[in-house]
Amino acid sequence: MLAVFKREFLSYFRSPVGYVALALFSFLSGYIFVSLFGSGEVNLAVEINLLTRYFMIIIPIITMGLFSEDKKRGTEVLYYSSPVSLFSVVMGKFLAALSLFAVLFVNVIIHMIITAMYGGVVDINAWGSVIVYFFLAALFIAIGVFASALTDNQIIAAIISFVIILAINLLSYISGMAQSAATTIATSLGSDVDKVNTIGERVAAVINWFDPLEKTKNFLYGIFSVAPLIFCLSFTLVFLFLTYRVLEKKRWSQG
Amino acid sequence: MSENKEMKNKENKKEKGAKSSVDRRALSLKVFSVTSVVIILVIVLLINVVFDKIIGKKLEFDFTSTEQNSVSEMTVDYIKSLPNDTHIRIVGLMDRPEDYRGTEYEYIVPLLDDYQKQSGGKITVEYIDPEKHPSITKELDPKGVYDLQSNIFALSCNGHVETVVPLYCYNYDQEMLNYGQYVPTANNVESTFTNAIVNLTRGYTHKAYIVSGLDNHDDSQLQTILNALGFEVAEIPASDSFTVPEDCDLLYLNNIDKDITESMYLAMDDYLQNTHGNLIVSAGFTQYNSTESFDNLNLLLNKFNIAISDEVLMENDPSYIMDANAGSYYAELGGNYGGFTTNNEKVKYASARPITTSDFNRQWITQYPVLLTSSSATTYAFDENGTPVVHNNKNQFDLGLFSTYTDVGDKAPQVYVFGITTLTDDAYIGSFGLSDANAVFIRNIIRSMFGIENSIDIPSRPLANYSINSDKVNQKTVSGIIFIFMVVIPLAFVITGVVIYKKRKNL
Repeated sequence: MLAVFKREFLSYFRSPVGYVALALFSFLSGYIFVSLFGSGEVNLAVEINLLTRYFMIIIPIITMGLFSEDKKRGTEVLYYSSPVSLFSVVMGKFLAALSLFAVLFVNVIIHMIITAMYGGVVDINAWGSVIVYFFLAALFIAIGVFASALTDNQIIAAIISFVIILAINLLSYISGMAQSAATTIATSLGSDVDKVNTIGERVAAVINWFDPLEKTKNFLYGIFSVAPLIFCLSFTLVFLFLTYRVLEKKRWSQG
Repeated sequence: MSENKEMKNKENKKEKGAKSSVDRRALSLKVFSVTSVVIILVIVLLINVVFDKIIGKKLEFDFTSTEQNSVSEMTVDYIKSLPNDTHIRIVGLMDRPEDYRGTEYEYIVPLLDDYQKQSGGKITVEYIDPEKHPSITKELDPKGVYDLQSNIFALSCNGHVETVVPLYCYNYDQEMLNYGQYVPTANNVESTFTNAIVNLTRGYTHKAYIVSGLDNHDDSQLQTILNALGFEVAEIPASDSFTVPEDCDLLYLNNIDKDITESMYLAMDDYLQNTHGNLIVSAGFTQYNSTESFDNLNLLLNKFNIAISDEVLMENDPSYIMDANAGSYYAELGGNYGGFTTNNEKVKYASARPITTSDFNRQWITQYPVLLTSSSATTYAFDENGTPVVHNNKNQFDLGLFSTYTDVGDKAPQVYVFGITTLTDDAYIGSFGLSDANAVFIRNIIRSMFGIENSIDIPSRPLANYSINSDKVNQKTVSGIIFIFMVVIPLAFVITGVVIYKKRKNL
């Protein structure tokens, strides 16, 4: 696993991908930081929270080539023939992408230092946001890794992960639409106003339950909770397992 | 020939057998794959449901430095002291706010979650929008007496309802408020909700009336203080038909600018003499009352050997001057009032009138100074041209006096008169909060009047301040930071990427 991790991590810096991600991330985080700095109030929890909204752009760039590039070159056969287990390959690539995210985060650490230098506050809300940042990054990277394993085309892999992460970002909006739809249907069936709205709210609640952004929101207010982290971690493992199964399928379908 | 045919048949059979065994293996692996994915998903969902619904709340921690999102021990102790069958519903008459950062719900929503968590089932918190669920208003308030509206919180227990308006859960910067901007300076969310719970479960023990129409100020902070002490508060407008209601335990003339009328004097005199009433008066020296001499009010107060002076106080002792330019000073506590502020902290005030005793000293009156200037204070009056003229030599003056009748026990009327307004002024408390020495002092005064011992004082909590040091930051600094973070660093990475790309391309 370490060998795969090392190879993948270094490959980010041997190709323009890592630098593009770094340039994009430093520009976006820099833009948010200077906007806050210019206003005279720097709440780093706000900056970090806003950065998680840009995951849908950065993560597809980082993860799109992880498996699809090997598939395209035909080097994926090494997964099955080398002495490294398939799960180690998946984990190695996943950890390499996550480590690149940690490198990107150095930008925010510099912002923290500057904020403290100018008499600002780096409070517990900011540290809570850092935890959320890495757990959400892990989840979305796992989605990107999974998308990359589905196809041999990097662009398609990027589009798949972009669409999934975008859908997750829009879950609260989707739940609102589902609520209105459920309410409309229940109204047409002749239920009374209270019941209709209860049905709509329950539908929205079920959809919102799957929203990791909603679940982790309280960290921004200094409330640390284990349940949202378990949610992110468990679904990260689910997507890594799905990636493993997709690759494993190739082995027995070749048989 | 036949041998060849047999051989071919055998080979075909062998091939078919091998193929079917591969198919069977592929199928079983496919089934295994799908089943394992389904099992993993079910396990993950179950784990998350357990963490989310069952043990998740126990694994939630408030790490804020001021524990903004946690109820204090005082609240927990009070809730614990309630009978086990108590059930308080806190209903937010709105959808549960989602992104509440920067809104008035920021400190309310997480704190209410903690009320529910700490209450051991005695408190439930719900969010129900009355526009979507019209039945909730009738359910909480069948008689329609509590005026329940959207976007407020209704606390309900045994048919009684208390309401909390989110906007009133904070202190605001009064200067900004003058420009119509609500800039919160302190958080009183817990104090507001806990006192609403106390009043809901214990009921109001006293009734206070604030006389309106004699000033230009709001009394909402004073009402908050009185509510928290178990007082139900109502207003009585100043008029010629003024009467003091029979259920009045405390009559409050808060920050008055105008004198009372003669009929009001008679009604108040009757209230104090015949029903052994309690009166608190505060009248400072402001632009609105600089020419007011409070003749009728002084007629009433003279019966308690007190008078509000026409003059203005001037503090000369530097240790009693808070800010000479702003005209704000410190007052020390009277001898009988030690411990009425935390660590006997001095009370703050601005432009004050001295409170004097009348020349004719009445033996049947017991009187204590409540607040005092330094011994270097002077007073001045205005001449006919409006020029201030120093009137008194350096001396110690009373800023607040208490009077009652001697040796009549519980049946004695009690009168407090203050020549300052900062004890109960909305603007002052709005800026300094309910934990400031002035608010603590007036609470203790009212407690001592009524022997209240078990009210709950939950201090205001400071709000997070993310301001950077404006002395260190100028336009040049901001421009430099913009240039470094938005141009230099991203461009450096882009250039490095291009160089790497070109080098790799040439390999």
